[in-house]
Amino acid sequence: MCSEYGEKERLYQKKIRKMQSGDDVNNCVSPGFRGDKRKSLIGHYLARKYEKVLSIEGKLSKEHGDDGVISNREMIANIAVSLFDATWERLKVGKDSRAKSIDDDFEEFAMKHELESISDSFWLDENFREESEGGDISADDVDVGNSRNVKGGGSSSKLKKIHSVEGHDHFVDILLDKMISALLPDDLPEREQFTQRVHEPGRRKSHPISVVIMSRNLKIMTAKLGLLFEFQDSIIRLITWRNPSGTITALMLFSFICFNPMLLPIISLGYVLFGLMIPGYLHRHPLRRNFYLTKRVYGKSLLVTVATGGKPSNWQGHDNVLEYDYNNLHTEGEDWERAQNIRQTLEFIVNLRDLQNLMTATVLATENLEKFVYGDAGFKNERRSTILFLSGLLALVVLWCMSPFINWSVTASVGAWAGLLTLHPRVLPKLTDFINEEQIEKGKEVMENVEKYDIILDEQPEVRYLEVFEIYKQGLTPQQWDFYTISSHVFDPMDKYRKSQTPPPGVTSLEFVTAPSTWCFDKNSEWVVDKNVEVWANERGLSLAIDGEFLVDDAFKRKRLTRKVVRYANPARKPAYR
Amino acid sequence: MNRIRKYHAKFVQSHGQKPSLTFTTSPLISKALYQFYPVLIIFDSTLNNIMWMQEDTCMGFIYLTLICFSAHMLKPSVDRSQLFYSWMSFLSLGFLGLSVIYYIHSTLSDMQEDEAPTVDDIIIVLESVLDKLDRIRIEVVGCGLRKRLVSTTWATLKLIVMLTPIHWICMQFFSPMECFMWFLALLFTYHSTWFQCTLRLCWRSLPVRNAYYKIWRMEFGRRYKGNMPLTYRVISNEEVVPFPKSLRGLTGAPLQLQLQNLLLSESSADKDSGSGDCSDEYVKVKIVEFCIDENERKWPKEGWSHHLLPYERQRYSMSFDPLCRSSQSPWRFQEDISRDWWWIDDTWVHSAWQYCDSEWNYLGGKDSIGCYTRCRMWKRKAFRIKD
Repeated sequence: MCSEYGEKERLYQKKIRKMQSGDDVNNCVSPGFRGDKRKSLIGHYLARKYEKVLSIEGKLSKEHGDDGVISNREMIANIAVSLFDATWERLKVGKDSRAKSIDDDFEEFAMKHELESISDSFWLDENFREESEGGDISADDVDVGNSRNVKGGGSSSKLKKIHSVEGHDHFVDILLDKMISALLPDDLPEREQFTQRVHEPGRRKSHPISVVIMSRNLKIMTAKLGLLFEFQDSIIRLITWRNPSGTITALMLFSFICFNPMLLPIISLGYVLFGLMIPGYLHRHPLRRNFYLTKRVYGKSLLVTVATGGKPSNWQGHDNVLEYDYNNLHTEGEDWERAQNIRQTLEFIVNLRDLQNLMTATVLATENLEKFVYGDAGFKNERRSTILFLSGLLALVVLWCMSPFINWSVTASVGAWAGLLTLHPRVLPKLTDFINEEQIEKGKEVMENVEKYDIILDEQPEVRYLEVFEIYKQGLTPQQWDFYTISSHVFDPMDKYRKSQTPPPGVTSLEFVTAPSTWCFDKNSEWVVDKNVEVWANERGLSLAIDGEFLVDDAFKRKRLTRKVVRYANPARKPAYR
Repeated sequence: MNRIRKYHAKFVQSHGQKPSLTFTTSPLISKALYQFYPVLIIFDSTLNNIMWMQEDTCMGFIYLTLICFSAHMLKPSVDRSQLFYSWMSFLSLGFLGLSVIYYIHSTLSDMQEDEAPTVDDIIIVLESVLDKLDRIRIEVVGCGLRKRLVSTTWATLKLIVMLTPIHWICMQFFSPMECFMWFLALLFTYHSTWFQCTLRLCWRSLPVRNAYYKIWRMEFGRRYKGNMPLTYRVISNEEVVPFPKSLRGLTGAPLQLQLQNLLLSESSADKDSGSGDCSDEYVKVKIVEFCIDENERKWPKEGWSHHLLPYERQRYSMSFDPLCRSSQSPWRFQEDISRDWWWIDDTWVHSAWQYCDSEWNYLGGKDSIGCYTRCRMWKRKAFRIKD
């Protein structure tokens, strides 16, 4: 036994040496996984970009024949100095413990936590004590020695990356960070400001945007999301009948749960016990049942032949996702290394693609949800929303009245069976053929007619009144008054425009007075002079002389005009960013 | 001068600056108002709860549930198998009573600690209470066309007749206690925004309106049957027209032509000149004006159209009928009119459109946002020779 482990140890040492020497090779294989490579690529790209800009500027300066222009070398020196400054600032902030903010604390915590999680003793196997102690064999190999316990070969690079982040960031990353922070306003409004969560205690202050953190999170998430995507795939396989036995099992279990909901926790517990723990045990202690591999399987299952919806070609158990394979240790080191890398890279890329698609689906779903919330549920199209509401109300009432008389267990299970049978790839086309297009057209016509005449939108419009003041200026004689302006301001001696001796905002004719946006004038109304001068003067706290319909002071007189404005409804709700 | 082409006017502020009431109110009234203030506040809060206008909506739900549970206290017999429900109802009622007492107590103690309200404060609360009461009244009694239908005794009688079978059906399925509980729930949610909005949305549906008007317009064959209103307006009941003997033999269109000429010339000539001394030379005619209303409704997609709602006046209606029953079109009408009427006007003349709201109340001569219906009157004068 001991000699076996010694052999393993030797192989590890060999592997580590290979990894250190073959780092470049690994980088070539997995460009996405290696942060350094990416950085250097971006750095290269930026350098090229600046080269272009510089060359253009150089040309321009030559064309203009301007001697005073800064030379390329100076420019580059300036950029370098500013980059250095940025780095220095960052380091200074990191070192100055007194000036440490909550954000820095969190960043530090995140780094530490990640390091811990990677070198966590959780992954150490108590049966392989040498492995954990192996890290102490030589001081040089300490990082890599720990990483053996982590899955796969990519972890060593990950560790290195984190070390580099902890020590000093790459220039480009700092540059990008700076660029982003320059684009954003200084005090980025917290999400909490818009919601009630502002008073919620114990909520962590949100983190500033950082490319470093974002890219790291993305990397870790992508590597670990394999299980989720596998689960998603298996659900799709179940629904599309590509795994008919699985589909029928699921349906049966669902039916059982419908009749006895307590089965739900029982089945979950059963899955944990027999689906996860027993295989785990079996992995550790195989029962040594000898299987004789047969060359060919003869015969077919009736169920599978009848019910299959397609080849279950990509069916695979979830346990081979990202799991460390001990059995391959004895193969040729270099080949194994390369194969492992390729597999990991592939897996990473596939996961990344799935993540991207998931994000696209999420975006689409959010957009649809938004459309529903602000469109159909927001009475954007009043007719459609009313129909939706009324049919929903009808369904609600009917369900409420009928629900005591319906056997929901039977309904749910029969519904599930019927639904999945309808979705069967062989049944669905026949069903869609059965429902011919004419009927659909007819249904649409009926719906249109319903929309046309069965919904009556004749609510009283909202009514408000507008007011303006027609202001006249004292002429040469006391009887002479010249028209001055039409304005919303009373323009009394205490008015701010009057004090600054400027005319108030206004127009020369009532034609140019418009209603506030979303409102319009009632066409059956006109501007009416308010004869109750005393009342409106009192409401404004003005005690001036009254002359007929005018309120007169030493230099101006004005009368108040009102007019009715109407609108059918408030404009529909809209998200703030639209 | 500032010459801006477009200028947005400002709204009239409904609550403008009013002169303070503190110094203008007599101390006696101020004191009375001040003593009345706590009652007012508690009443306002009760109204808030009934109208679900309290800040915390969940409280409304909790109170509603507690009230529904408390209804079980009214159960006359003691049933041991339902001990849990009895206990729950007792608990709910107790909690409700305690919370009411606690609220009143805390309101009073808060007021004692706080500075005294001004008369203006009290008036504002009073106005809000009155506003809410008015709102509740409108929600119960209805307004516009719907109010008229509920307010008569006849309508109330009908309501009772209609509700009796519903009541009977409810009693078959539910126990009186359950019915009472549902009634309480309805009572305490009826004035909530959700209930009122649901009612408004339901009112948009044509079948709902049809059903409503079918029930309320049901007259049990009592009124206005067989009593058709007149289709014309009498302009002159006994107009004396000179009628030469030479025209005696004429019939049909030539007679009409002659009489038309006579009428027109007579109306232009001096009336005193031919005061009839010989009765043979004159005939007495009755001059009337036939009037028919043409009605239209505005639809969002097609604009003004003759498509009207089943319960309201139809495309052509009788102008002088208070019920606005439907009529033939003017051209069909002139075909079917009895033979002894002779037309004075050559053709039907229509007035300008009159724009109305959804319940045919006149709004003005121009199409505006609030106008959903319009009508115009077709008129034509005619006469009949009196024997």
